[in-house]
Amino acid sequence: MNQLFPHVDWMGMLTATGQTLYMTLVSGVFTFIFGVILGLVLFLTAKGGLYENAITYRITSSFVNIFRAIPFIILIILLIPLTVLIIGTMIGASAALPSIIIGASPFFARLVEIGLHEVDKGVIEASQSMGATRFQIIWKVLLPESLPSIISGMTVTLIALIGNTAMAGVVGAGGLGTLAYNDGFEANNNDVTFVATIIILVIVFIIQFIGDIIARRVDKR
Amino acid sequence: MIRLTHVKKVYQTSAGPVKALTDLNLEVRQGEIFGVIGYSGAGKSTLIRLINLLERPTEGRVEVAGHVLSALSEKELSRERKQIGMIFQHFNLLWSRTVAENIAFPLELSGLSKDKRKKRVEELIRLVGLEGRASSYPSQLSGGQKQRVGIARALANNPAVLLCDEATSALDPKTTDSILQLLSDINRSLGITIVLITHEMYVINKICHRVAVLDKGSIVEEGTVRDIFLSPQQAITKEFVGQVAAPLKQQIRIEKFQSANPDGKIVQLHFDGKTDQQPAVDRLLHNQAIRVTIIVSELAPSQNGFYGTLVLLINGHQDTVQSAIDQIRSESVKVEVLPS
Ligand SMILES: Nc1ncnc2c1ncn2[C@@H]1O[C@H](COP(=O)(O)OP(=O)(O)OP(=O)(O)O)[C@@H](O)[C@H]1O
Ligand SMILES: [Mg+2]
Repeated sequence: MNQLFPHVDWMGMLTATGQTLYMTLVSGVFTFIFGVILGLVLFLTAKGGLYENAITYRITSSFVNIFRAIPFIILIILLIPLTVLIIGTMIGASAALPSIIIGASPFFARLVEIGLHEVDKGVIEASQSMGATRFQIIWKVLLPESLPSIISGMTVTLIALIGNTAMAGVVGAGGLGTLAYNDGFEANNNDVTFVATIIILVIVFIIQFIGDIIARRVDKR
Repeated sequence: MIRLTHVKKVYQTSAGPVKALTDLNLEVRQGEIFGVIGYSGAGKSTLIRLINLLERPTEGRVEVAGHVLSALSEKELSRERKQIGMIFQHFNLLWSRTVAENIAFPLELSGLSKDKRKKRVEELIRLVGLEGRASSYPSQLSGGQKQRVGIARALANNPAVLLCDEATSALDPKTTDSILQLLSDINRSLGITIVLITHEMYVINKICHRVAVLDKGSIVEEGTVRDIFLSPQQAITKEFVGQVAAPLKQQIRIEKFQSANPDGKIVQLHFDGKTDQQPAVDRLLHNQAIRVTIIVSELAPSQNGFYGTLVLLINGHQDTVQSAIDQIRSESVKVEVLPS
């Protein structure tokens, strides 16, 4: 092992992997929450929606479009003031979270919105005919019926998000990205870059695998 | 039970207003099965969706079970809608829920406790004949079974009215019959009022008591199914009546005679055409002790006379009628006494 990868500090690699997983997990949870809320707002306030409201829709939609359009690396820089305000510092894994979450939530929100649009209009109508309130329709119909789409969307989002944690690493977030850049690329240790890449790939494959299994498990269509 | 007065519905579309219903009046009585028939685009779905206010009338009043629904707010409507069950052409089940969970859905909406829900679901599963399928998902069911789930779900909160929007249009003829039978049974055993819309006269004939013909957004003819079948007035009604095969119309005519003459006997004579059976018929028709009415005559000439069937109504004293029947039987005519 040490002969094959002479420059790899395995303890450091482990710490970096932990940091990457931490960033992925925490930002994943927040992205999920914000994405579902934003997706619901987009779906519900759109024309013909249960809470049709042109102004709310226009504002939310613009917000989502703008943040999806900004390249992540620029988003990090733009969000420095906000990050310092929330986290208190610009360096470290936690400092990367706000920009990762704000970068991924709009993307996931659109996927949630698409999933909600796939819910059969007839089923919503049937629920209304049974006297369901709008809140009951959201909880008992829209979310459960679009769950497979939401889960597939979350899998895609998580994978994109890992890419972003690596990128955030370049500006000092820590994790496998920082390791690959500082100890690998800058110090010209290709073996370090290589191992970090492999670990990231493994994490991606595991997420995809688990995501597919859960999506299949809940999909009774 | 249901009263629509001067109801009008206009849809605003990007291509301009679409008049779906024009000044429609309708009354459905307590406990009856009321059919609405019309071609595609006549406004049938619009009409039935107005009854539970899934669609708000542009003008007019909608009254169900003594409540003026058209005057209620969205929140009050949620409560009143529990009085009105609805089933759909495409079933509209939640695919993410099992049969039992689908049926429990309206009970959850009403806030019933888990124990009570379980008990009620079991009752309903038995009612619609889905024993053993409680934990299946809709995707594992046939169309007929899915509609049974739809019916159980619609009945869960003991509604006073059941609305059926083309409930059998996605089903094959045999399954259609079984679903119609179920609806008919439910109507009888629970006394629930049913409004059913369809484009098939067969369905109307099979279970409805009264029918309205809807054409271009208004009712052009209305009456008991019997009357509509036997003397349709409008051209469109005649077209619909024409959909139903001749034997069925005959059947209705026979049943009509039957109910008008509860004491008379209806017999069907079968002539095989091998020998001349005219004298036997003559003797029967000229028998002074009984009165014979010809309901259906489907005879064709044969070499020795004729073959085919006659359906007759025989009135008279029970014994005389019986002896006349025995007499013609002895003259090698096959006689079938139709059950009354
Ligand atoms: N939501 C809507 N927006 C605009 N127009 C509509 C809408 N729903 C129905 N219409 C129009 O109203 C008319 C009646 O439609 P409706 O669906 O009630 O007909 P139908 O008798 O149920 O037809 P089908 O047998 O095809 O279901 C049609 O001209 C239809 O295009
Ligand atoms: Mg229709």
